Amino acid sequence: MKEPRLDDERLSALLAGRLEGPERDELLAHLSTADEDLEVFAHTAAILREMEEEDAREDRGVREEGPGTKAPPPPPPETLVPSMSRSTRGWPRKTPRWAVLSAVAGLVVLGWLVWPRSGAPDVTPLRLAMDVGDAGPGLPFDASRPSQGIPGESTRGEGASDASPESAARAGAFLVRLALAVQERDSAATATLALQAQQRFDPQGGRALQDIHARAGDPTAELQPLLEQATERLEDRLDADYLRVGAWTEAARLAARQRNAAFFRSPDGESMLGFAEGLTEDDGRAREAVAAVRRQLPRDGRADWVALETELDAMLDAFAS
Amino acid sequence: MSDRLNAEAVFIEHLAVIERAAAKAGRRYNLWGDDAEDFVAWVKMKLLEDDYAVFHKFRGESNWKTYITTVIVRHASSYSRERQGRWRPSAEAARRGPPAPELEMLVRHYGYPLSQAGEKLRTSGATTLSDTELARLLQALPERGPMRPVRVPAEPVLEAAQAPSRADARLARAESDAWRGELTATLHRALERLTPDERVIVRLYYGEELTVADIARALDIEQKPLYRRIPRLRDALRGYLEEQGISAGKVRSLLTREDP
Repeated sequence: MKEPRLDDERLSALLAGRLEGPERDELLAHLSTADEDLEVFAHTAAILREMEEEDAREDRGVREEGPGTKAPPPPPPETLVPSMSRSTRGWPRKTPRWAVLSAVAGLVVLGWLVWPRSGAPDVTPLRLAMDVGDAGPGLPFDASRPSQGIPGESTRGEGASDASPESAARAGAFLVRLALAVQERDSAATATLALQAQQRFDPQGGRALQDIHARAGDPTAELQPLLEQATERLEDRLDADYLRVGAWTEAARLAARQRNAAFFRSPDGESMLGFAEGLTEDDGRAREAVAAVRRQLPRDGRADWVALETELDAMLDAFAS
Repeated sequence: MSDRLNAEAVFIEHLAVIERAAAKAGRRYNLWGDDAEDFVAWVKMKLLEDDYAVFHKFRGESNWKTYITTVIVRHASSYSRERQGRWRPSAEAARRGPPAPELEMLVRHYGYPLSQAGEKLRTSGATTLSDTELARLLQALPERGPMRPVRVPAEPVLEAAQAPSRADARLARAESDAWRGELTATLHRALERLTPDERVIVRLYYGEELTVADIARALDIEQKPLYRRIPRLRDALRGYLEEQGISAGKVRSLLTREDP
């Protein structure tokens, strides 16, 4: 027997938010069992939202950035290739050229050692911070409370132990923020993050983090090697895979907040999601979170930034708490 | 007469919206190229039918744009069914997600050569994959028989009916069908435990694969809480299924069964 079809105007009244209470519930009850009507309802909703977003973009004169439920901030300048340029801009002009080159070479070699190419994307917190930083000046988080928003920070002391994968993921998130603070030469945020990271993840040692805390006002070029040492040490003490996933996820969250489309054009994103997926065999929640992020990745220059940011929040939450 | 003039004026005033909605609806129902253009022209004719009857039916319970878009989508649904029969993507194509279902339809249903199908998909923004990558994807999708019945000589059918290995396969299939029926019934019972809102959310997200933003728009609810609500609903359903003895492994083995 053919299922009874809903009148198109009743369906559109539901979509237009004109129905309430028992009338609305009755229609929803019908939709929950009527395949054809549900399909029409679903397609109409999606088409209406697309048209509304296109109209809104046209009104704002925005050519790219994609849909969102609120007007995004002015689009950041986009770069195609992440470069060392932001970090060099932060170095004092008096630094001899040979010192710059040797520091760069040292970072590259250290980065290669810290993040061996064992099938995982070769990204470091420092490199991720550069990708995020390419979107424009300023820290993409509250400098006065630099660790706010990292899972577990509000329940410090109640979470998993130091050596847990969750702790490693949190450490990765911390390192990205620290790298950004160093890059931006925000000495207050640098000092706070370095101290917090040392207390939480390496309370018995953490010499490099202690040094960063003590020298938070020093030039970026002098702090970045310390940052690489800190990363290497934390990778040795904690679960390196989860640290890597936590770092990328935090960087992606901050990039989504900035509407930084360039960050997501890097193939590292897909590689990292695949790598993260490989860690989720026994963790359905984390697996779903990774899949949800993948669904929201920008495509063809379009992104639902609010949705992406929220899914990245959920992914970091799944790995880090 | 004045009613007709009013309806005509409304039609002309909203023609841009009508054409946009029709183009998008066609795209969603996998109407491509000439088919898509034909559909837009066809739906405009439908709106003009019987002196703009659709327009006169509007009672004002909704807003005009939403109403006309709903009508157009309904037309797209029946137009597509008429043109394509009951074509549905294979389970493998559905599992892989876009552009696999679209590619499968263009090549296996419409009969486009791969290069043409690839060009259509790339032009419409459905994919950025190259022809080589699309060929690899197509190879992974099962071969499909025609949708309409074809005449089959009786002898091969009888031989198949009698061969013991075929009988084993039929028995396995029958068991699988029974198990699938049990799963479906259990899933229905699980859904019945949800409120109407929740059932629709689950079906829109997992069945129609709407984004969370689209679901929020459709049901006129806050978007952000949905990101937590949907996993909670999923967990509630999963919990019930597991209580009934249905595990993820069993469901997975069912879903990997080949299409008939």
